[in-house]
Formats: sequence, structure tokens, C-alpha cells
Amino acid sequence: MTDPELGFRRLVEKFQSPMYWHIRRMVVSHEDAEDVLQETFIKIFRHLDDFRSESSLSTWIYRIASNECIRFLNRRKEQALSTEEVQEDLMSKLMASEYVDYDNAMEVKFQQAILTLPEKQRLVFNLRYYDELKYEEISRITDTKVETLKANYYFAKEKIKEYMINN
Amino acid sequence: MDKNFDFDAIGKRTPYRTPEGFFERMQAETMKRVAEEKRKKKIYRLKVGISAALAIAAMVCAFVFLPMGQTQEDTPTDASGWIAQLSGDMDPMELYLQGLSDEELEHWIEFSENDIYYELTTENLNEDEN
Repeated sequence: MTDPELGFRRLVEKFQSPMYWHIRRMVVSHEDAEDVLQETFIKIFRHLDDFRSESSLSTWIYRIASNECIRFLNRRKEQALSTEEVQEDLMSKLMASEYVDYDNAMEVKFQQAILTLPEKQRLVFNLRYYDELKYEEISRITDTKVETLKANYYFAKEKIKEYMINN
Repeated sequence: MDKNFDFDAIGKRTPYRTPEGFFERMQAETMKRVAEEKRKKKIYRLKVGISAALAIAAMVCAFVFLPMGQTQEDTPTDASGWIAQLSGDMDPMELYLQGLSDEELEHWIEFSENDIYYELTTENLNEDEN
């Protein structure tokens, strides 16, 4: 195996798990997450030469993975589905999947609450809450100002809290 | 339900699961697709290389066969005169390279650095000029 391939294998080893979970939380279904993850790594491989060390490798990879998630969700909208219908579709995938553990109702409900958020807010919430990224990193991933991200995260938490209390 | 929902009660746990051995299989599949990508890239480079070689061959043929049927006055006596006439005062190689995209140019440079036959062709071209 050539050195660049070995390097890429190590990159896949290191990032496939965090990227899979990031993507899975966005697209919900395991099968869709698998497809999006593979596309993400192929894009990374194609553009590895374009990577500039202005941002960290991890931020760059998160950015590609997030863009792939948004692209995937937008493709659903192109199939004549409205934003609400895409949201409903994700919700139904959450409620009828072979790869969701329904034993813990609270965890399922928490994911339902997250799915009620608008796409961008959901992305920001996931990156901050689950991946514990700094606002500055999320800013580089989403091309959004830090102040806007802070507001987004605050409102996302409020909405989730409200959903968890009232449902 | 408590009016102040506690996020820590759930923490980072999610109900999402994966099939057994998923990550091992995923890595193998990804590396398989990467190998396919590399093969596609190689084929593309080969195509560009062959096109470049054909273009050079066409130029060499033009040097050899074009003087026939022309009068003495409009027939240049040396190779540089031919180059100027063929390309409007521009080196044919330069003319060819100008027509390439950045990506093709990158592949071309890599190809010409590694291809011994291509080196010979360009050497012949230079000899013709001298």
C-alpha cells in the first residue's frame, strides 16, 4: 500500500466514528448515514490536496460532512417535499428503524425534540451539544457569526426544553 | 414533568445503534472506493498523456510534410521559420500548452516528467529546430 493510501486509511480510522454519529444525528436513518458518510470520505480523498492548514483538519472534515448532510436533505426537498415533510419523514424514520433502541423512551423523545428544530439550528445544536465544538470552530464550519451561533444554540435549547416538558 | 428540564439527565446518550461490525466493514468499503477513484484518475492521466503525445506527433508530421507543394518564396528555410509560420510567431509547444486547463497542465507536467518516450519526442523536436 502506498503512503498516501496508508495516511488516508488512518484518517478514516480516526474520523469515521465521530463523522458517522454527526451525520446520523442529522439524517436519522442508519442506511442514509452510511451513504452520506461514504460520500464524505470520497470528497475528502478528492480534495485532500486542497486542504489548507488555516483551519484544523477536524474542522475541515466536519465542514465537508455537514455540507454533505445539508446536500442530502436538500435533495429530499428537490423530490417535491416541503421542509415540514422532510422533517416528518425524519421523524417517521426515527420511530420505525431497526437501528434505534426504543427501550429508553426519554432518549427517543429527546431526539424527537431535536428533530423539531429548523435544519440549521439542529446542526448548530448537534455540533455544540454532542461534539462539544467551540463556537469559533462551528463558525468556520457553517460560515456563521459566533454571536448568531450563540443565539441559535440558546433558542434551540429553549425549544427542546419546551418540547420535553409539554409532550 | 419537571418544569426545568435537566439536559444532564440525558447527557449525550442517543437511541441510535449500528449493525454489528459496521465500522470495520465501512472502512473496508471506503478504501475500496478510494482505490476505484485512484484507478479513474490514472485512466484520465493516461488519456491526457496519449492526447499530448498525439498532438506532438501531429506537429512533427506537420514539420515533415507541410513544405511540399509550396513555392520557394513562401517556404521558410529553417525550422524556426516553420514554427513561426505554423503558429503565428508562437512556439507550437507553447501554443499547445496554452490550450490546456490547469488540471490538464498539471497532469501533462507529471506525465512528461515520467515518460521516457515523451522526453525523446521533445528532444527530437528540439533537434529539428537546431
